[in-house]
Parts: sequence; C-alpha cells; structure tokens
Amino acid sequence: MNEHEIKTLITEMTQEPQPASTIDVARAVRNGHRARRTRSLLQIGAVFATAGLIVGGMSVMATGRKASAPVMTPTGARFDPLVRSADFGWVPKGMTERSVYVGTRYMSLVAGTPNGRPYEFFFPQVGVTLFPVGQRIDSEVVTRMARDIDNKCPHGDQVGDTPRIGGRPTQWVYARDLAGSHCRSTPVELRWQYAAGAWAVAKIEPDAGLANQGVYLRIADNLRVGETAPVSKPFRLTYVPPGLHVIETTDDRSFSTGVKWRTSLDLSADADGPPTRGYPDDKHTPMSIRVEVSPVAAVDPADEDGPLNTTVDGHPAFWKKSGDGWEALRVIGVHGFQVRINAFKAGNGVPLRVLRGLRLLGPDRAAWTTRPVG
Amino acid sequence: MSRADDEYTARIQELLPRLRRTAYLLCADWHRADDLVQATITRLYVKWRRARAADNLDAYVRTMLVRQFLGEQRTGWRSRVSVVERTPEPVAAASDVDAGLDVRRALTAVPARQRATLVLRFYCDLTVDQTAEILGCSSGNVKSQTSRGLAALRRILEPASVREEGA
Repeated sequence: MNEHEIKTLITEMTQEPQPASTIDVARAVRNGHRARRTRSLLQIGAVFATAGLIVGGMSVMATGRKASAPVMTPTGARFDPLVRSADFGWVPKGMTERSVYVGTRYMSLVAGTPNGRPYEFFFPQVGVTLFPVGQRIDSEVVTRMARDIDNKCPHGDQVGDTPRIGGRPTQWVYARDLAGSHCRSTPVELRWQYAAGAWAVAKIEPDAGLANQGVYLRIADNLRVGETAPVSKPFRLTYVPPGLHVIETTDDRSFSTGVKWRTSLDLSADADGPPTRGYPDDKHTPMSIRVEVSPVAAVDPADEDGPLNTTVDGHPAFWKKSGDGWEALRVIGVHGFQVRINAFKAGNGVPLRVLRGLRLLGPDRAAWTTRPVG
Repeated sequence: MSRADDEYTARIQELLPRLRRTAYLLCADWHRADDLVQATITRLYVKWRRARAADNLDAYVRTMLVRQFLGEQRTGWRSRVSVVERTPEPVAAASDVDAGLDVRRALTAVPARQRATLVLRFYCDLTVDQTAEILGCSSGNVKSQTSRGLAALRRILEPASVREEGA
C-alpha cells in the first residue's frame, strides 16, 4: 500500500455518512464572551438593561438631562498600570463587587452584584473603559457583553451623536437586535470624552434590568477621573527575568463576602503590548509573566488549568509545561494564598524561581505594597 | 451581535465542514470531533482579534484544532489511555468490513501524534515543513512520525498474507 492509496483511503473516510452536527457557533460566541470575561479576567465593558425597558425614555433622557459637572482632568497618552486614575462615583444599588484592570492603553472599571457561587467571581454588569488621550476606542478591549439577540431583527450596531457630556463629544451606540426589543433601537453603549481627546465607554449588561439612558448618564456624570491612587499588591517579586515591564494590573474584589478577591500583575518584554493574562496568543507573543494571588477561600477546585498534579514545598500544586515555551504553576496554601504564575518564553523553571522570590504580605490591605516588583 | 461577531460567525460557517472532517480524522469519532471543533472555535473566538488578522485563517484554525486534539490527549481522562509507540497487532479484520471502517479502526490504533501527522500530510496536503510548524517539532521528526504512522497503517490495513509475501 503506497502513500497515494493511503491518502485516498483517508479522504474516502471523510465521505462516509455523517451524523448531524452538534457544533453550535452561537454557543462558541457566548462561551467565548464568558472566557474573555472570567478566565482572562478580560477587558471590560459592562452594561445593563433589559431590552424592553430601554427604549421608551431614550430621547427624553438624551435631551432633557440636567448637565452636571463631573471633574474632568486630562490624562497622559499612556496609563501607568500601577496607578488607578479613575473610579466609579456611582453605580446602581446592590452592585457591591468590583474589578479594576489597568493597562497601558486602557483602564477598566467593572461592577456587579454577587452571583452567590462559591468559586466564581461576579458577572460584570456595569463597566466603564477609559482610554488615554489620543487613543482611539478599541472595541476589542471594551468587552462586548453577552446579550440575547432576536435573529429576526437587523444586526449591526449604529452610532449616533447626542448632547454633550461636559461639553465634549458624546455618542450613543444602538442595537436593533436585542431580544425583546421588537427590533427598536436600543442603547447598548455610551461613549464620551472624559477629557479633551480622551474617550470613555460605558456599557451595561442588557439582562441586568437597568439599561436605560438615565443610568448610563448617571454613571458617566459621576465618574471620578484624574485620580492618582497607587495600585497595591499583596506580594513583592524579588525575582523576575530581566527586560520585563509591568503592563497590566488587575484587582477583583467581592465586597459582599470580604474574603473573595483576586489580584494579578502582568509583565511583558513589550512595554506597550497587550497583556497575555497568562495565556499567550501564539508564538509571536513576547516573553511574559503573570502572577496572580488569591486567598485559599477563593480557590476553585475545578480550576480550568487542570487538576493538581504535584506538590511544591509540601503544598498541593499544578504544574504544566508545553513545547512552545509556556509554563504554568499553581500552588495552593502558601501562607493561606493560592499563587498562580504563568510564564511564556521565560525559560525553564522560571515560575518556580519567581515563586521562590515571592514575598507575600498577608491579607491586610494596609500592609500591601505599591512597589510589587524589585 | 456586533460586526465582529457577525464576521466571526460567517467565517466559521465557511470553515466548519472541513474543520469537522479534519477533527473526525484525528479522533475517529464524530461526536468527539464535534466537541473538539466546539472547543476550538470557542478558543478562536477569544483570540479572534489576532486570528482575523492571520494571513491564512484556515491554517490558523487548523493549527488550533490539532493542538487542541493533542492537548486533550495529554490531559484529562484521555491521558489515562495508554498511547504506545508501536501499535499492537490488530485483531484480524473480517474481509467483508468496508474499507472506511477499516481505515477508521486503523487510524485509531495509530498513536495520536502520528495520526495528526498523517492527517496533516495526507488529508490537509501540508508539506513536511508546514506540518512541523503546526506540531511544533522538527522536519526530521515529522518524517519519522510519518514513516512510523504509515507503517502502522499498513500493518493494520494490509491482510496478513500480503505482509508475509512482502516480508
């Protein structure tokens, strides 16, 4: 049997009768959204509102709003991941949970209600993403919130100008295909310049029952910008490979439980590159390291990386290495914390070396450091 | 659904038939093939921003599929299935079993990495170098995996009498 015959046989094998496919592209989109949000701690954007609630008062709210005067302080062309320069001034009642992600090209604030699940963080329901001066809105960073759509309605969002917030350009983004909207235009995003040439985007999860223009505008009006709150971490890294820069910090915090939180630091050889959040996109991703710390109380026994398969200093751990230079280490119970260190192209054994150089500072935030590297 | 989602959905629908067939050749089980494709396109969605810029999206997704397959072989319950370097002697195939079934049985008896090599080389028509790129190994390794995989297939597919004659 020669190669040609085997090739023919293999090709013929694919021609045999096939059962009906169970592949669901829409499910991939939904789960992909969730993965972006939770696994990678992803970007931001949040939103709210039930489609049915949204439509009615739209034009009234857009035109009849009393212009308040949020503090608008211009920011630089690049954010410092170790400085939080904005915060919510108001979110709807009950949204006690928070996430803050600060990269060099964007900063995101997210709020949501407790989801009641022991190992999952909340689902984002309200989000604001800010971009530095001169940076265009990157819709890939402003996470599209999962939303049920009505396939009978026309797809494709529309952008419309609206009365200015703070005297600066402001836009609404409308969708016509939200389930329950009867194909009427429904606001799904508010974009405004929070400082000259610096855009912010607010989103509300459509299913949260809060998405009306009044809520959007109140969030925008009350946003506090121009702050210089240093980002603190419960650890200090005494060893990281040379040539790495801090490119993103994340902080998830459940104020409802008080014990569930997760904080991370991303370093990359590309000072302006997108964060890998521990999972490189492909072989072109530069050297990167992610360190994530959370209390053991927030450890998910069914962690996505896989079951525990080794021990480190007597602590149960997960370790994995792939042929492309990716290495992951997750250790549970290090001074009461779970420590996760993912590295890409950093060299063999670097996660363990980073772990050995990790100084944990305890659960009391007052003892955390604003200089987590060095 | 946003424009990007629409674009993603449209591109996936184009790729799906061939992707599903490739997955089936890798795992020889339509249901598992669907699971494999589902997992792959979900991951693709997460990486869509980068993927959509790829020169050859078909190749990009195929690479993800193969790596997903090999990754599943290494982890989870499938890792408990012993993958041996040499295929065991097959049970003598009944002569009236159709060829497609024989090939499927033969493919499942070939170790996963060799199977992936054969599928990439002989179904996807990739060169040795292209296959090496996807599998993350050297060209020499692809050649040896191909050779071993073909030998294993021949061992299983060819009747014993033919093998004895050829020996």
